[in-house]
Amino acid sequence: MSGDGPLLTEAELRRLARLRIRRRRATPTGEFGDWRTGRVGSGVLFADHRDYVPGDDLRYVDWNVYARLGDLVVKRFEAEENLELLLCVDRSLSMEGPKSRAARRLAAALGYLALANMDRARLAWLPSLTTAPVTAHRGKGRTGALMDELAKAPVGGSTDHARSIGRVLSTCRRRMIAVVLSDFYDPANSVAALAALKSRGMDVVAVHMLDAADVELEPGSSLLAVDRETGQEVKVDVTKAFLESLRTSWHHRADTLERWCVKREVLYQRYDVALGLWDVLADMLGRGIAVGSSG
Amino acid sequence: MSLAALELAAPAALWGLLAAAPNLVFHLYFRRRRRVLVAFAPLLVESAGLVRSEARFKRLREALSLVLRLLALACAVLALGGLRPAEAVEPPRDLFLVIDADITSVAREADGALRLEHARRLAQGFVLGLPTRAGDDLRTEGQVAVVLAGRAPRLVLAPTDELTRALDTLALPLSPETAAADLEAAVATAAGAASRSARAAVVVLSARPIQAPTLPPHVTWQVVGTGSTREDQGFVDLVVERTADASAYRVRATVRNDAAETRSRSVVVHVGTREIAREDAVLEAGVPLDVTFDVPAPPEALWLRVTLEGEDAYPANDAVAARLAPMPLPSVLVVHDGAVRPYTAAVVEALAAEGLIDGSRGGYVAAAKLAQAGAHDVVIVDGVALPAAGLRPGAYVFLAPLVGTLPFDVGRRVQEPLIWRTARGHPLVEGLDFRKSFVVRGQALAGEGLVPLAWAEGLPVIAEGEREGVRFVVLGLDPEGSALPTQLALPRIVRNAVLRLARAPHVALAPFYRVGEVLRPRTAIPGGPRARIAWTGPEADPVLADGGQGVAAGRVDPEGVAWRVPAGAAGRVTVTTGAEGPAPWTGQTAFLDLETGRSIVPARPEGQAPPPGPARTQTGLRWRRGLLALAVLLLLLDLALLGLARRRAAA
Repeated sequence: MSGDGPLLTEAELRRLARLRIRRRRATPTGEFGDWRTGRVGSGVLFADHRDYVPGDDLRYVDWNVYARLGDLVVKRFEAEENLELLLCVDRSLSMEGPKSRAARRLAAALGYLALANMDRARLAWLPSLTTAPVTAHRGKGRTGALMDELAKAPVGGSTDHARSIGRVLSTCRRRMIAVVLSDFYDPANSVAALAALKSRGMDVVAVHMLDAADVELEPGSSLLAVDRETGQEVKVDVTKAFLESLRTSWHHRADTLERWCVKREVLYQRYDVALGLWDVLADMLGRGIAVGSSG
Repeated sequence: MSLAALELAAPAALWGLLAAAPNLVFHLYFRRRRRVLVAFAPLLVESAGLVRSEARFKRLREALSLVLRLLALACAVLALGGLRPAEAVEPPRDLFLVIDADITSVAREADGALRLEHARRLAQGFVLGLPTRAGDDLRTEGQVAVVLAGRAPRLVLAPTDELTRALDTLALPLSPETAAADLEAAVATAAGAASRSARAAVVVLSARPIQAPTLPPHVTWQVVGTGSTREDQGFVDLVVERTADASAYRVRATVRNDAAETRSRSVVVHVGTREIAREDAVLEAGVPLDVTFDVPAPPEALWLRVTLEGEDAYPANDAVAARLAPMPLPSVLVVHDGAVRPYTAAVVEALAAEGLIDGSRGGYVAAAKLAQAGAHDVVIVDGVALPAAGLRPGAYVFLAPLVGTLPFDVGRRVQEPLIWRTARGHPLVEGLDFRKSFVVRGQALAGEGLVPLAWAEGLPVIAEGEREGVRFVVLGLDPEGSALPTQLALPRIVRNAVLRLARAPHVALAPFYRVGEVLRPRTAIPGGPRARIAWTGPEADPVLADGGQGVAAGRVDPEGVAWRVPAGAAGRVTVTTGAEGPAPWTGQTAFLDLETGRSIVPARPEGQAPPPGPARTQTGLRWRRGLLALAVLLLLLDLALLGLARRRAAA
């Protein structure tokens, strides 16, 4: 991938420092971390009280309440655990162009947020062109390596998300936040991949990369359209009606995918490459998708 | 029409078809399927399926548009190249122009120009329209010749390919004929020459109708009118007759108005240089009008001229003429048997005294001495027998008793007839009344060629006839044995007979003869049946100027065919006849070319203005216009198709 400079500038990195990765629901990870999981457990952040029942650990009895009210109650705490972020970035040939760079910038931003909070970030390419489907990064010191990998990984291969995700899941036993950045131009396959992630109890976020250029053809032209990935050839006479039909179809596919995600509790985020990275992050922040405020 | 029947005037124009190449390249370049990489082809397949009919229409429209433009270009190129039918393209290699120089070609058309001048301009137009050789504008591809139709065909321009020579010839004014031209002969001449050419056209420039000659297939035929004016009034007939008393000529001229409206003209009669009559005539359109005058017999031969004053388009038929012979008093010789009978002498003396005969040149002679007597106009045989050699050609009046050598037969005697009958209206018995007469002595008449004039008891007793040059009037009545009414009638009969017989020798020929009419003298020409006829133009007559002249020999006698007036002698000549031998005899008359059917009004429409060239140019022009119109139509169709596509797209 030959980008136009670094994926994220210093200014963008400083700006990202105000954000953090947000898990939508608690996920028992089995180890402590810095992030509230939302799950009541053995963390340090007070959640509420409940009545004491025999067997409770006496260390969690709130003696101050007992002294004032004479009731035995135990304090409940939100469980805190380390966040693990799985970034699945589509690098198939259909992503070539602005979509690919935008997807890598967003992945870089999310990865930076994860690593900056001493969490673990895993990066998986869809499809994986190497024997190791996932590379793992932990700690802020790995930020550069993650950025470098995102910037330099070439575009190539065909979309086969189900197979690629299957390989990823074979190496990831833990539940994590899985962010899939793709144009999802293989709907059935992509849905299968998302469903597989979901079935593993992951907090799945589908970032749909949209580039209007994909459906912008020269009006009046006669084209031999060749699919970048499959080489499939299609003879097309670009008429006004055809263009309208093409755009409608394109939007319809996106809507269909979004409806499926909602139905399966997969967070769905559109990313129009015409928009800036921060517009998308702001949208995700506003909708509580993966990104939250650090304050 | 097959493609072989078409031809291009300028094949080089076909290079213009190369202009189709950019159009084709433009079309193929912009309509080619450019190869583009797309992210997800199935999306296009799905959308293309929804608008497949639209795409098909687009491609069909584009293909149709290309075809229309290429066709329009082809039409334009073919128009510039001069595509036309081969038969129109094939130019006559040689052009034979026949110009009618008939006398009617002097008719002045509405624009003031003569028909012959029209013909000349038309001929110039045809010559200028001839294709010239490549690289040599002064030489025509074929040859051009001009034949002038006059009395005989005249080749005024021999076949040549020199354009300047042809134009120089046609730049000079042409001379019209003074008589009818033989157009058919001129056309035949041109057609004969054209038949020997590989490819030719015969073009006749005339206002007269003409039948197309038989031509070989490679020779085309065209007649171009040179005029159509109807503004003409002219003589169509002239009749000159003697009055009953032989003292004057009765002239009847017939005038016809060919114009479409009534015209007023003046008919003027001149004898010699003296005007003797004038009459204003109102001529209705197309209706012949007879104008009659009595002209006193002149003392010497003079021309009678009848003219139509006023202007019209065709002056050649505004004058006619006749040769009026003088009518001198005849001389009478009486033949008797030794002493003239008193009654006969009294009649002759009375005629001389009345001034009807020339008494100084007449006389009396005994039958025995007749051979010594000189020639007289009329010989009265006063009941005597003539010697065998005494009956020479001439005029005779036989009075009863009828004896000796006679040119007729004598029948039985007639006595005291009770019933008389006369040939009513005959000038010889004009004014006679025999109803109360009877005859004591008379002889019936018979014989071949005898014309009875009066009958008694059903038998002819007065008759006239002619045999072997002997013209006679015979009276089978004996005055001395007749009743008084008969005796009173006989002097008038004798007078009439003398005048009737005396008239012929002095006017052997009629005042005029029409073309084609047989010239037959009224009396034998002394010297024998062989005669010589000569004619010359009239002597300094302004009306009848410019006559021809010629000599013809032939048998001229009352019995044989004399000589038929030829067309070439029409209208403008006098004639003298003379017998071969020591005793010449002369007479004068005129030939008139009064063809009653002649008219300057042509039977077919007038030709148009001189054409720019042969008909092929017109045909080529029509094809060119048609092809250009088709090209424009195709482009309009293309535009309409484009508009339809835009409307459909907008919808």
